[in-house]
Amino acid sequence: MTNPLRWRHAGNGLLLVGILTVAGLVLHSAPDRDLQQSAIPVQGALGESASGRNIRATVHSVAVTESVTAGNGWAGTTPGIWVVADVTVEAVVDDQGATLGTAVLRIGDLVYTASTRPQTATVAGRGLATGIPLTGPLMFEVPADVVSSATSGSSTIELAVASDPRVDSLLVVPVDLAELPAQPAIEVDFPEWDAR
Amino acid sequence: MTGPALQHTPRMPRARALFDRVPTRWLVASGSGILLAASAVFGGLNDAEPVEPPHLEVGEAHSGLEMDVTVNGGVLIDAFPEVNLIPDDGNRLFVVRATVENTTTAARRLSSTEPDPIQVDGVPEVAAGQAPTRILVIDDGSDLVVVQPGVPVELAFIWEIPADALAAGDTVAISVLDRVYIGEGELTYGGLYGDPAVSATVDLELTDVGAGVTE
Repeated sequence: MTNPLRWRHAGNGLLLVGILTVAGLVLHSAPDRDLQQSAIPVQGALGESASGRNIRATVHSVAVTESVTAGNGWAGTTPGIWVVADVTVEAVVDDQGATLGTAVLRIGDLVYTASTRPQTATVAGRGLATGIPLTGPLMFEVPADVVSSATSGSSTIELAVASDPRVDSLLVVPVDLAELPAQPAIEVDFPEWDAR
Repeated sequence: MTGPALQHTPRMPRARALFDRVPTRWLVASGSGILLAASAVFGGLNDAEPVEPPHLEVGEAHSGLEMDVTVNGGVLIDAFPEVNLIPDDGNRLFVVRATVENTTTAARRLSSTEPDPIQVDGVPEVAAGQAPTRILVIDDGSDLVVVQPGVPVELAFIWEIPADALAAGDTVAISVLDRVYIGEGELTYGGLYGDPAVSATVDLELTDVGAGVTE
């Protein structure tokens, strides 16, 4: 016996289940806010130039040292240890408001920002020029046991224009801190325009 | 419509009738009263002990929610000309030295617009909770203070005060503050924080170093 009303009810039920299934799929597979807004990573390599939307940078070398003397004579002390990176960085399309606002050393879950204690003797926070590279040091103040920890082998240096790198390029350069011997002291040059 | 329950006759018809005439709000009120009386038996109505934040000695470390803070001392000084910090005429500087260690996983900039992580109470001409005029790293006088995770740093929290507001030997109450995380913002980016909460207090006796310190 075929009851048309019963078939219609069953059809409506199926349709409803279908709509709910599609809605659930969309809800759980659509990118969340973090993913929509996150920075766009650009993988780089030590010693090689990497380019993003408005930033081109090269991390030339990384050193671990007990004490660092900057180009302006600054030699701040730390209870930890200094990780010093030598970088070249320039803006690509626009120097309006382009500063090296994000210069971060990520070791495992820990996030260290490049020290601004050396004032103008670091490239952290410095204004960038379009097409004119600025070469200089970044100093990171890190606890000594973090540098010698197991996770420090897969650390990254992350660079971006502006202090909030969301929805913009973020250059990610892997560095292996575990391999580096801690030097007693190093001297670094004052940041220089168009040096390399 | 007639179910078996309706055919049931109560065992005590008069008591049941009496009970049915009691207004419902009387029942609710007497129920609450019984609960309250029961809790009073276990001390539920006693005065609550006020939770006093711990009182620290100078130099004693305090573990806060996001930072470990050790208040090391307080001085009065004329000026710090080498970091271009020269108070107006008739004013001096009141400096609290404290070692701060960030115990979170991300670097954090200490703002000099919020009373964070310490504030002073009872200093004439300084409103309670007023942010310091400047925060300096003592090691190199740098005034943009970012505390890196796990790296303790000694800071000078500096307030500009009238020269006669404080003198050597005065005691100033220092509050160590915790910022209270509420949650991630729905419309804003980053964590939302409520009013800072006092997590410890320190009484600081001041010394006067005149024009400068020699350390």
